[in-house]
This record gives sequence, structure tokens and C-alpha cells, in this order.
Amino acid sequence: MKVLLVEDEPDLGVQVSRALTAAGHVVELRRDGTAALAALKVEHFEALVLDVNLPGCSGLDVLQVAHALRPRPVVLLLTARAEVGDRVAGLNAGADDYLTKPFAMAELLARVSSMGRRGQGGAAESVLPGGSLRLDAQRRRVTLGGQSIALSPREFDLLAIFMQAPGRVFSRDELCERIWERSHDYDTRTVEIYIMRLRKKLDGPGAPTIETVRGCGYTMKLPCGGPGG
Amino acid sequence: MRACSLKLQFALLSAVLAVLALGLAGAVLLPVVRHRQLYDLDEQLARDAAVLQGIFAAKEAEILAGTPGVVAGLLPPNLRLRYLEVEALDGRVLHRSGNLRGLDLTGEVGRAHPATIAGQAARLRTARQGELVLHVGTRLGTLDKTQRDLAMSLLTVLPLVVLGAFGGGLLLGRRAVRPIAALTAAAETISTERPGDRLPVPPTGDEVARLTEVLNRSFDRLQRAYEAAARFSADASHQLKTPLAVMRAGVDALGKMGGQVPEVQAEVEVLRRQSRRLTTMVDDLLLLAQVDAGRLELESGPSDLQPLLERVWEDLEALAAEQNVSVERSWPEALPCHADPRRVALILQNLLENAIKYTPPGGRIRGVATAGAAGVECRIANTGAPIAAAQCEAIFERFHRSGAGENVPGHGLGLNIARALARAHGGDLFLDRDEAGWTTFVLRLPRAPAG
Repeated sequence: MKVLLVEDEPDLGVQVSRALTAAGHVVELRRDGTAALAALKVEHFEALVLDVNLPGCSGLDVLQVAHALRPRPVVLLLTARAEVGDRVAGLNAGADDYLTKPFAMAELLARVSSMGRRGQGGAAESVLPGGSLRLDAQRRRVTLGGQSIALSPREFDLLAIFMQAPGRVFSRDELCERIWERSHDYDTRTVEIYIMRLRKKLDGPGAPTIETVRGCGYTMKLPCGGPGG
Repeated sequence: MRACSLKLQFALLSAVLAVLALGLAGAVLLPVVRHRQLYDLDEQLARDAAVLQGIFAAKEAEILAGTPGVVAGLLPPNLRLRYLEVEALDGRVLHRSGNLRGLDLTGEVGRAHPATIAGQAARLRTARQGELVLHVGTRLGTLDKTQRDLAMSLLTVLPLVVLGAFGGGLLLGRRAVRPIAALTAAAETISTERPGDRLPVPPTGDEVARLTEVLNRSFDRLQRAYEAAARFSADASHQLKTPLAVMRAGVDALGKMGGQVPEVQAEVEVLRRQSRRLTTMVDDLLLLAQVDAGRLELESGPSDLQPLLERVWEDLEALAAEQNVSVERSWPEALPCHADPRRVALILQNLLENAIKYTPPGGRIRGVATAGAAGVECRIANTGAPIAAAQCEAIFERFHRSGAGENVPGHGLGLNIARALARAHGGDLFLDRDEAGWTTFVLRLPRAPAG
């Protein structure tokens, strides 16, 4: 996708730009609102990654201009503030998604590509296939080879994270970050316990496996030759 | 104090003052009137004596001779009802009027004085005519009756005056309080809805106008402080979180570059965990800054505590098994309340983290929740070293660390934040020490929106 990244913090701008480029996007980086508006005038972008707090004019002003463009670019807002008012204002002004600083780069990349799919008219998938395992995110149900398996709320959340990106290595901390909004003292240990339980419940023919990558974290492997992925 | 009671106080005070005024009037009026009447009576007696002196002067010898009936025959009709005694200088009684019934009258010549005749108050005047001494007197009956009438009429008007004063006081009180009531309503609107507005200053220049000006200045100061706090919260968010975001992105990039080299990934993981801890700490402090500025925003709506509790309880059970702590739970299928689920999850997480932290191996943790018409009550209890009564409130203070648990992790903001969030919901969080051997935290959340 062609992405316009607007971020006034130079280091962060370069980091995000590098990561987006590595993920296969074409990135234009601008440092303030005025430059962003100028870029929007001359070029078309499919996606905007926009810091709310900008010098020049605010991110919400840029968002308003972007919202009026046709075809409309999808917009991911970045902000330091997790306050309700800001989030609601951003989403009301037409942002497609919202990410609070600091964020995991993998999370940003996942959001950008999922927004892109939606922008192209693809519906957000609610059923994730993984071998003989199917996860229905909306109804919160998991079946293995057609048989429903009972997962606790946390086990379900954890499985959904793995199934959104099979093959990706997740560190324990990244998993914690996704499950709990706030870090707590025992979270990494708790994640290990949940992974052990999940492995036991997913023990069946054609089921994906959650493997430990020594020193790095965990990854979900789809069964060889199985459908989906 | 409410406006109506101020009015009532005003009216009551008026009534009391009216009673006092009337009492004072009576206390002054009654003696003055009595004094005046006595004076008139004495004058009258003096005139009567003078008339009798005139009449007796011509017949002095005859009277002195003691012939009975002489004096009675000489009396003019208008003086026949008076007490009258005529004596000779040597004390011989020459005449006594019938109404004296044989009583002896005495007195100093030329002066009026009080006397009691046949048990009744009377006034006497003594005069001398040649060899004769005259005692002329009259009863004070009419005078006493006037006094009684006067007192009676004062008492009769008393309730009317009290009622009038009370009503008038009420009316005046309302008139005086009305601008204050209006001021209160306007101030309430400003403090809750429109902080930028100011109270209209009445052009009267009176006490209310001055009060209004003072209030407006206070509002100015409050608004400046509020805006400064709000700016701090926003600025601090940006200033603290942006470098965190850069560090975090850098750690992610390093992790990616490091590939699957365990030594590199272990270091990256440590950095990532610490940056997460730092982020949590910053979030907590910003949240408390919002609480202090009175601008904590909640995304409240009809919620169910049950699924939130289920998840947090699951975390607890996973850990408890490891630490040889047994857990018990009891709550219904649904726990309806009016709350912001994200914030409530935070409260529960803090409570359970606290419980697992302070329960020794072999101990127990118990969760009980009930739903009622008023809202939800959730009791999280654990066994362990009891919390001293004096510490009951201290444990909710910022950066409070229990003396018994110096080696337990955490930064001492958890309970403070949990309580602030519970109260922002219109609920509460407190410690219950009633059950021996158990430390119980009670969380209450309302069923209906606060306020």
C-alpha cells in the first residue's frame, strides 16, 4: 500500500517508516500537519498513519481533509493519550483505527494491513481457519475437526492472537501486552501457564501446534499439507 | 443550610422579637397608666376634701359637739360613696361612713397614701379643718380593673402580632434569600456544566453583589488551576509517551534484526518488559493526575461485571495453583452494573494481584459477588498476615508499601488507583476486617448512573 506517515518525532518517524517499508508498503514521511496537507494535495495515498499531536495544524485537521478525499484513504491515528474524549473524537472524525503510544511495531503493521483489507471492501474475518481448527471470533467458538472445544476466556484470547498470524514468533511480553492492558507482576508466568493448557486442549489430528522458539517466544505452526493458513 | 430553613429562622426570630416588644410595651405601659390614674385619683380626693372642708367650716362647732347625723346630713350626694371619717384633734371619732364598718382611719394631714380597708386596696387623703381631721378615701377597684383590661387586651393582640411578625419575617426572609438562591443555582451550573460562564453581578452594589464578585474570582482561579492540570495531563502524556514509543519501536527493530539468537532475544525481552513496566507506571501516574484534576473520563454504560471477573479469576487460579494457594469462588451468571468495563477490569486486576501477593503458600483466596437493586458488591478475601486497624486507610495511600511485604513486587499505586476508579464510578472500595483471619476488600459499583 502507499502510506503517508505523519509523525513529528524524527526517530519514531524513521522507525515506523522503516518497519512499514520492510512489510512491503511504500511510505512517504512528513513531519508536520502543513506538510501532510501539501502531500495529500499532490499525491493519492491508500492509507494514512497520523500522529494526533502535530506542530502546524493538528492531526484531526489533517484527518478532516483526508476524509473528504475520493477515494478515501484509510486512517490509523497514533496518540500519546489514551483518554476517552480523544479516542472518541478521533473515531468520530473518521479515523478507521486508533493506536496508543507506545505500541508494538507488529501491532501497527497488523492494524495497517487489516485496515487495508477492509478499505478494499474485504470484510473483517470473524472465522479464522487453521488446519482442522476453526476460530469464530464473533461467536467466540472454537472447533477442532468439527468438534467444539471448550476454552476459557483467556485461552480463547491467546489462541486468537496466534491464529491471526500463524508462523509469527511472539515473545511472551508481546502476548502479555495483548492480553492485559496494564502490565502486572505475574503476567509472563501466567502466559506460560495458558500456553501449556492450550497445547493440551489442541491435541488432535490436523490441529496446529504452538511451539516454543528457544529464547524468543512462541509460534503457531499449521499442520503440513493442511488447508488454510 | 437550606434556603427555606434560613427563611424559617428569620420568621421565628421576628416572632420572638415581636413577643419581646409587646412584653416590653406592657411592662412600661401598665405602671405608667397606673401612676397616672393614681395621680388623678389623688387630685380628685384633694378636691373632695376641699369641698368637705368648705361645708364643715360652717358647722364646725355642731360637728365637734358630736351630734350624730350632722355630718351625714351635710354630705353632697356625689361624696356619699366615699370613705369618710371625721375626728376631733384629740382623736374622738365624730363620724364614720357606713362603708367603713367601724374601722379606724389614720393618716398624715395634707398627703395622699395607700391603705387597705376591709381587705380592699384603697387610697386615702387626710385634711384638717379647724379642730376637725378629715379622712377621705376611695377604693382602687376601678383602677385595678383598668390594669387588668389593659393587660388582657395586650394578651389578646399577642397571637395576632406574633402571627403577623412570623408571616412578615417569612416574606422578608424569602425576599432576602431569593438572590442567594438564584446565585446558588447559577454557581452550580458553572461548577458542573459551563466552567467558562460567570455569575451575573447585580447592579445593586449590596452584599449579594459583593458575594457574586468574590465567587466569580474564585471561579477564575479554579478554572485556571483546572486548565493547568488538564494541560499537564495532556502535555505529560505526549512528553513521556513519545520517547517510550521510540524506545519501544527500537527494541522491536533490534528484536527483528537479532533473528533467532537466544542471547539477543533474551536481552530484547528484558528491554521490552521494562519498557512495558515503565508504560504502565506512566499510565498510572497520568490516570492519577486526571483523578486529581477531577477530569477522569469514564466510558460508562450498562455493563456486566461477571465476564470481567471470570477472566481475572482465571489468571488468579492459574497462579494460585503454582503457589499452593487454594481459591474459592461464588457469583451469579450476571452481575449488572453501570460502569466502564476497561476501568473495572483494572480495579479487579489490582485487587487480585494484591490478593496473590499477600497470601502465603497454603493460604486461601475467596471471591464472592452479589447483585442487588443498588448495584454489585464484590468481596475479594485472602488469608494472611492481618492488616492493623490503623493501616485500614493507609493501604489506599499512594506508594504505600506494607511493612510485612517489603520483598513483594509492585509500585504501591494499585489500591490507590483501584479506589479512585471505584469512586469515580459512584461506587467504593474499602477494607473489611470483620472476619478473623481474612483480609477482605469490598468493591461496590452502582446499578444506575451516578448523580
